[in-house]
Amino acid sequence: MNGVLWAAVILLAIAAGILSAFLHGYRRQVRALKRQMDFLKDTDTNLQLSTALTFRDVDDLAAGINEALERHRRTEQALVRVSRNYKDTITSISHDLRTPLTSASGYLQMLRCENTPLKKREQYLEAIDRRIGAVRRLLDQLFEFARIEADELVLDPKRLLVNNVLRDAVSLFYDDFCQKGANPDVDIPDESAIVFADQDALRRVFENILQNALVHGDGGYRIRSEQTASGCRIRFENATHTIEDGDLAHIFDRFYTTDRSRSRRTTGLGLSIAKKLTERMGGTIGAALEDGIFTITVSFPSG
Amino acid sequence: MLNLLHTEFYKLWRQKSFYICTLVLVVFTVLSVFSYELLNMMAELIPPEVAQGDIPSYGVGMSTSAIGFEGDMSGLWALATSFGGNLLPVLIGIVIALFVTADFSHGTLKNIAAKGFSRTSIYVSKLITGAVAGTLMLLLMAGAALVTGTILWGFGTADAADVFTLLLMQVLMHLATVGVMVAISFLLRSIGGAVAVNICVVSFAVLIPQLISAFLNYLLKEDRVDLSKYWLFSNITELSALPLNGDAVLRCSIVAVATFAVFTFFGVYSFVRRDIK
Amino acid sequence: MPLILETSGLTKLYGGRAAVNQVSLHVKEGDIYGFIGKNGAGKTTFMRLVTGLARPDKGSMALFGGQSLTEGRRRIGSMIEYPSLYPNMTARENLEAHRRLLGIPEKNSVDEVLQTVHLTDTGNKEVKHFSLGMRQRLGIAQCLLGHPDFLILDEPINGLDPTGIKEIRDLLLTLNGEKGITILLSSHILGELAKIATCYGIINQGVLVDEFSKDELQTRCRRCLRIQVDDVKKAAQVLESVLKTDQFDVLPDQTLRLFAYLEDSGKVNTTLVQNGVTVMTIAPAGQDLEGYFMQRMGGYGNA
Repeated sequence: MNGVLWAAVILLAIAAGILSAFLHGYRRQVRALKRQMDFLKDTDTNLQLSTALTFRDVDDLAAGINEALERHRRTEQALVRVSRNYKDTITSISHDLRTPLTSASGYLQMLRCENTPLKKREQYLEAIDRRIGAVRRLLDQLFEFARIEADELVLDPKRLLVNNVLRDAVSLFYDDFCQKGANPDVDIPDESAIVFADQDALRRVFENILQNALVHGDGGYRIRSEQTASGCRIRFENATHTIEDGDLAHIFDRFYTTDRSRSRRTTGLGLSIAKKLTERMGGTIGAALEDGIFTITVSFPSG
Repeated sequence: MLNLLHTEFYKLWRQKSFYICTLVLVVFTVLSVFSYELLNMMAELIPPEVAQGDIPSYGVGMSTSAIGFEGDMSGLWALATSFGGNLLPVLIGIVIALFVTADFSHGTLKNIAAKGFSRTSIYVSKLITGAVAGTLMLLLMAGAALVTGTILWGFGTADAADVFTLLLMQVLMHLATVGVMVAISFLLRSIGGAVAVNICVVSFAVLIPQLISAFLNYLLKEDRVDLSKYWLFSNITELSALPLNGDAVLRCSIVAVATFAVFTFFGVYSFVRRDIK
Repeated sequence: MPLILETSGLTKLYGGRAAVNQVSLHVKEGDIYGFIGKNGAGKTTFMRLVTGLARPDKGSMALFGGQSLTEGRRRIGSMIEYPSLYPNMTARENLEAHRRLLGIPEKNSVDEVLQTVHLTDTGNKEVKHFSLGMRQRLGIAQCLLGHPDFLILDEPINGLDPTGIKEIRDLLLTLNGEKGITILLSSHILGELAKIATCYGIINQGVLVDEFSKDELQTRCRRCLRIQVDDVKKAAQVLESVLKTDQFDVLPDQTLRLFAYLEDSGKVNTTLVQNGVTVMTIAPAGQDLEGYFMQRMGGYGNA
């Protein structure tokens, strides 16, 4: 009898020991997590919470907190990126405004000069006109962007033949593409899908994409439009050596440009506007890069 | 430290040699127990006069006292006797040598050390993992012997406290064995060397205290110095029969604890001092 | 700019010989630091000292601006000499073991990191059957598991084929750009290093010979006219007063490097001679990166 009692006492003691070890472990883990959080929330680091015990609920909690941390960090990084891009763009924009205006001013000076021949005068006036046009276009783009961002732009959707609008846009740039290299490969079928969209906005989307391809692309232009089960899909392809995989994720960001040297004076807004407008009209837009061929695909549901 | 244990155990359960050695251990033990039965059957055919003399042992795990047929064979008897050979310490030595030196030879110790874990905690985590591995192997071997013996001859009778003490003592002594093996593995760092030395330590190193004893005896012109009483592996064999001798238990406990302490101390010290390749 | 790693007089002696000799190195946040040196120059030993695998004999180091070394090392992912992997376990098992060591609660972190290095479909293949390239990638994956802020990589592109090298290069650039991970890497292959490093450190026989940024390197290796004259002071004066340029520097053994008039060596020659300077040789020069490094790594004597 005595032996059984002793065995029971020992067993109970062991059980109590194990339970208290458990509890102690839990408390230590919580305190360790707190210590880590103190460090993590104030430091700029990639580090995340780590646990020492394998209690499922503690691990799940830590994983959840880690996810929140990660999201927070990504937002911060995005913020830094956008603000950096924005600063670069402001600098570039002011340069872009200053240059044509200075040039126009120069021509104006020459016009004031008395012994300028008449023929030259005509040329100078035309040059000034072009410069002013450039400034106006730049400002238009900026204002349009601002309005789109503020959701102030009012769209007037109608049922349109998408291929007609596409053809109009392409014809605007056709000569420029040819000048860049080989003639663009345009495949727009006669039968067109019908979409429910604002005509100006739709044209603007196509023009911005084509403008972008013209400025940054390296030839090899292909524009294809096809009908799909749900609507239509238009693909804009061009060869490129300036875009890399890392750029794809940011290509539609505001003020984003791969044009580091700022030699071609782009605002980085063109594609961003295209995306905003496309999405407001219920479509989708995406970019892909494969073997040096950059493709933008725009899709709209049938209207 | 808990993280260390977590990863060490993960690696242990994936170490094939652990399962192989355990299997070998269990199979051998079962076979040994069977071999007693064979001897039993053979003994019945041998005339009594011959049975009194010294019959050479057949295979591992047998001691001559078993052939003397003192007392009855039983499950419990098999349990106790299974500790008699040196197989368990040797196999524990092999498993631990492979387990510890793997991190050195594959360079993976860098992964642990470079993350800021102290040398001491790395050592202790290996110790604990080794202890669990060793104890598991011990319990499996003892269980296999018990079960086989019980099947053959019945469970047997013995003082429960005695049996319990025997088991406890053997666990203690094999924990000390783990300590020795871990220390040697950390010192030698190479797989082959550690395995070899671990085996030798178990099997042959008893010669050292014996030689020293003989030398001292010669000097002192005495006959009573026997240092092998304080050698861990001899003690393991010593406590492989029921009933237990109380004094022996005390002596063996002290030897086990002392051996563990000494080897662990030197193991940790040498590891903390040296660089990691 | 905060310093991720700063060492001061760091020294490691092996039997009387200094494998790392009074090295005072600086890695700024966001750098990709290219660590260059011949075999046995001390790069690997230095990295061991930083990661705590070996103890320095003299000098000190600071991680993350003074954080405790133990905690700081938690934020470092390192691969020293060769990827440290268990050959008898699969890729996943290796990473799971490491994940438990680090106490990372997210069970899918192993899959995530395998995806980053493109090693998702090795299945049950044991690491001992992996190619060198796969092992390198798994090693890097292991480094990334702990969300490091600082990567220390010892010859990460050793033994890789061009595709593999490009993959690693892209990966490192992405990690540095998107996650802000500072990288210290050593390599023999100068060309590759030059593609991504933002600053360099040259080590020779345990001594940090030089440390400079990428821009500084461009400056030092600029194209110039290398002019050997009889009287450097007089020649300098002529350049300043007659040719009106201060874009030159003076080297030992009566040599000047002129960074202007690059296309007009004839004029420079004539001007100098006319003003009483004897010109021994005048020729265009300008080191490429490799030339510059060979010169610096060769030792003090070789100029």
